[in-house]
Amino acid sequence: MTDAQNPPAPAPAPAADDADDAGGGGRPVADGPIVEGRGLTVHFYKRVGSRRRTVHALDDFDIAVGPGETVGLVGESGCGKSTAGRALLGAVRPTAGRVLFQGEDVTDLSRARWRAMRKHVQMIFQDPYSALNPKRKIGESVAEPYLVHTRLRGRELESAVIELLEMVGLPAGAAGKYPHAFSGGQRQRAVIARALALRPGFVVADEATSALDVSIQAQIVNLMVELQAEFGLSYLFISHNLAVIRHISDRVAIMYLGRLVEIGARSDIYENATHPYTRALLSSVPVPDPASRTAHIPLTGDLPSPMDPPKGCRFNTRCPVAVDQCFTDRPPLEERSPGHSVACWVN
Amino acid sequence: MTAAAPAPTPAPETVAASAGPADDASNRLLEIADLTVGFPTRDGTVHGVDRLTLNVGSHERLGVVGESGSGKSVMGLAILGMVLPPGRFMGGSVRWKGQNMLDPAVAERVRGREVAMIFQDPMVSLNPLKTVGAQLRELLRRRAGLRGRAVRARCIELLDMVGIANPAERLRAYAFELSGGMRQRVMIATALACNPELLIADEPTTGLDVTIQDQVLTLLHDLSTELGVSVLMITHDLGVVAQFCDRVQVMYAGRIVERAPIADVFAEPQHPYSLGLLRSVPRVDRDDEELEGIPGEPLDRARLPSGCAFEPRCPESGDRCGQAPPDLAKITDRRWVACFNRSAPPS
Repeated sequence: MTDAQNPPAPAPAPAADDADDAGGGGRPVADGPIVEGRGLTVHFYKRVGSRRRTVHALDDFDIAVGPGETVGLVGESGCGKSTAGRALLGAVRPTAGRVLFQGEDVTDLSRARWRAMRKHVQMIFQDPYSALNPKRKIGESVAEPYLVHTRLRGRELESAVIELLEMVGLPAGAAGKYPHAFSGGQRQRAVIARALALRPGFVVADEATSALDVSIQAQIVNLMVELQAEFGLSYLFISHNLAVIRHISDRVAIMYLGRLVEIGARSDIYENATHPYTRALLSSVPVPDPASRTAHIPLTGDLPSPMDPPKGCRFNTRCPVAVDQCFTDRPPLEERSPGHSVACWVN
Repeated sequence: MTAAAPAPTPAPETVAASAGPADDASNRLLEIADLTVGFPTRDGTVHGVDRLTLNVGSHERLGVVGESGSGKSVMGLAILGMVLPPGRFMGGSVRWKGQNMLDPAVAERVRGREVAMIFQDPMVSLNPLKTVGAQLRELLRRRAGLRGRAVRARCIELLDMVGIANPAERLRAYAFELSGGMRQRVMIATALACNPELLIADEPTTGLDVTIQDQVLTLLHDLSTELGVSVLMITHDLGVVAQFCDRVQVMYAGRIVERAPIADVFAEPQHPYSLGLLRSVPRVDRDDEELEGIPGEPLDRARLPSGCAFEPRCPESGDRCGQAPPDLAKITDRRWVACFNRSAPPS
């Protein structure tokens, strides 16, 4: 899907009965958000036989991340959560919509300007094995951002790298070793050190702990929380793991097939889930406690293809409570209580 | 697939350990005693499983939980007489209803008939060049000895049993045309084709989205109850164990560290590793304050300490722990633990 050459896309026809604004999803936080996406839409084009098909990866997506805040982004595979994160970092050019960084519109920045922006926004990926060049020593990989963006060299550079490694709990001696000498958890620490080298304000963590064993995952989650407190970082924490998201997030956004279906404070989502998809998702997580066998809301069927998303509400093919309107009109994301917005005609 | 060499290191003190329903000898399907599987490496032999003792009774769901490299998958394969070179049996016994599974002729007869296995990735286990129907038909003719009309009827019955809609039509599908959840259903149908009495499921839902995982686990649970099939569930996910199994054994570095009915382990884990594991898992059903994690790194299996393998990471380690590995000992009626700091109350 990444071979998409997005032509200067025709502005997508706004969905049938677009709500005036998208509700409280993009609600600004106290000091004004550090990063904001407004109406972000990303379409990829894929050739199927002789036809060009549109993949609706992300559709009219609103989000705002405040300073020092962690927003969790959850959904099943193919729901567009990674695309959303990449669009906010300028790694994917949106087909429509705007990206704002500290209030400034950065959507149409040139490549060179985006390169300068990278000081402020960073990404941590799932797989620490492919994120580090196996032929480079850990120290070299971690020093890279300094070489690109600063004039630190020589002895000063060395001590900056060692300071970074110590900050993430790696021994100073790690700098001289190659990635193969480290476990997955240690590599992820090195990746975090590199991402934080330039003290970015905003970090997108895309399944950053998903490949790790639980005892190590806990270490990395704790490290990310500590570093956030220390540097006042903002995270967009993308994961399919609803328990990790609950642990780490201040606010949580639930996506389904490219659209936001519910967003709210952690307690809104985990204690007062409103969208039928959120409810089903939460009920399907196996709880590590035999005493709490949850009442399941079974979802039948599979995710429809993003090349051919259902009309109206995209969840209508699997929704246990769908009514006629759900098959014709797209439900707007509406604020139900301060900060808690839901896109559903029924609930 | 080497047959067992005479055990070089028979562990004198290890008792034929079991707990729970399988204690009743007449009810035992699978009995493993002192099983050791070794892999030669440059740094000496690594024991994939080390003097492992285990019984599975009929109508039982036993969970085997551990992190990467704990030996749980090696164990699953060894039960079926499958140890892939360069691995080899170093000692112990595996008996299926009293027959020696380490005898290749016995293993060949039992495998796929009385004991069947399902794996994590159905895309690897299903033949990409044959339709679902062709694979099922071949299996039913070869293993179940069905002929003529009965073959097709049984194919349809099997797909129907695992909840695949329009089974007659699906028989013509290739693996790539099915979704991940659907492929795992086909795998389950294949495993059930010969009415097995024991199903070994190695991470059957890892990699599936939670709503699909929920469907597959519910299906497996219902089928095992309806058909009276025992299940050996190998997983890293404590949630899956808690919601699916009756008993669980926790593995670390190729050895069993704790075994008990799930209610006991989750309410009061006794081995420090089980405790650490449970404290590492974030909960989706409540706000947890802090994840404790387990300090240190996963074990380098080629450099096992001479004492308890968990000693370097254990918060409770004492003098004895560094000297020799503790044996799995019965500390209550239903619980077995391998730890010097946990012993049976004097009786």
